Amino acid sequence: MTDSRVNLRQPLLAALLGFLLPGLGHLYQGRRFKAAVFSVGILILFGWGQVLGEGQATYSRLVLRTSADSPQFSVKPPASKTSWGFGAQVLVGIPAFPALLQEARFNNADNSVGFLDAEVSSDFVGALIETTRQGDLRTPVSGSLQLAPTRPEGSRTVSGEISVSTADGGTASYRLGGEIQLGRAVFGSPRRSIECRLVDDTGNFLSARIEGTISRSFFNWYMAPLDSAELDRLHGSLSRQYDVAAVLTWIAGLLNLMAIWDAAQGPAYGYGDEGRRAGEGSGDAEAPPVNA
Amino acid sequence: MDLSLITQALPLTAIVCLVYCATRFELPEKIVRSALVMFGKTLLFLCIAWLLLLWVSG
Repeated sequence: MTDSRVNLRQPLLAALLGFLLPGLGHLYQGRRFKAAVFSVGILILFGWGQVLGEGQATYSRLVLRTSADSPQFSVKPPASKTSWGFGAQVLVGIPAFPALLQEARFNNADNSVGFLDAEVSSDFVGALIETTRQGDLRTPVSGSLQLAPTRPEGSRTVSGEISVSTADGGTASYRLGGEIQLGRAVFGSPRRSIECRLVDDTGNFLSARIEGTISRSFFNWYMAPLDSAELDRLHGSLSRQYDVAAVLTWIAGLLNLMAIWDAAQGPAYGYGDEGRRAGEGSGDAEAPPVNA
Repeated sequence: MDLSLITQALPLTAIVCLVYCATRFELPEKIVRSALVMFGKTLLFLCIAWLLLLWVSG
């Protein structure tokens, strides 16, 4: 509903600004109270969802697991499908745009798969796997790991060391060497998959290897496409909280859609004093414009 | 009852009511007043629904 007292200035520009950042369109129109309500309310909801979902409630693509191998080890962009929830989340504007940037980064061939370009020092969570005649013997371990490429410019072969502790309290250190299997740099998980063989002091391979994950930098996992295994992990660790987080971000986006509409068309029901003004018998022409 | 339900549902309801009413009216007093009314009605509805479900499941 249009009201002559509401100065919409350039409605389309206001709507665009409102889409970019909740409340920005209303601020441009001089409607400061509504700008504050929309920006604070909608951004709190979106941020709250992000915090509850540990930063992983917003993503634009869900990576499909088409084989037993983790898509983290795929050099080519793995097959993925659209996250429909993102259709609501993106309406929040700039706060959700990193997901689009991460999608673009994700869709590039990742030459860092299985390639170490610099020294790595990280925590490690995974398993120590010893190959025996009876088969693989898998021991869950966690600890810290240091790795360096064998060439200064980076390489697929590495050397390093890992110190781990087992569930029964035992600790041990091992030397690492040979070719490394390292997951994609950009992926929607704070943990990066890694596989590496164990070597003895002379550099000979032992019949054992480590499989697990190391830390991935925030800029490489925040809002990046993730796979169902990561979703399973999130549901496992956060339970209902992850669903609540996703719903909060969706609601934030849908509320901003109404705010965008308000920036373009004005308040839906009217100015808000229609009943009082009808009683006083005053007309539009007598009332001062709000944002003149 | 899970306390997180209340700590999450109440602020969410309040924000949704305030933002929704802000898209309906222009006057700040009218926005706040109608948001409070909507918040109260929503809570009343949720309480009735909760009691109904409690009675049905009891």
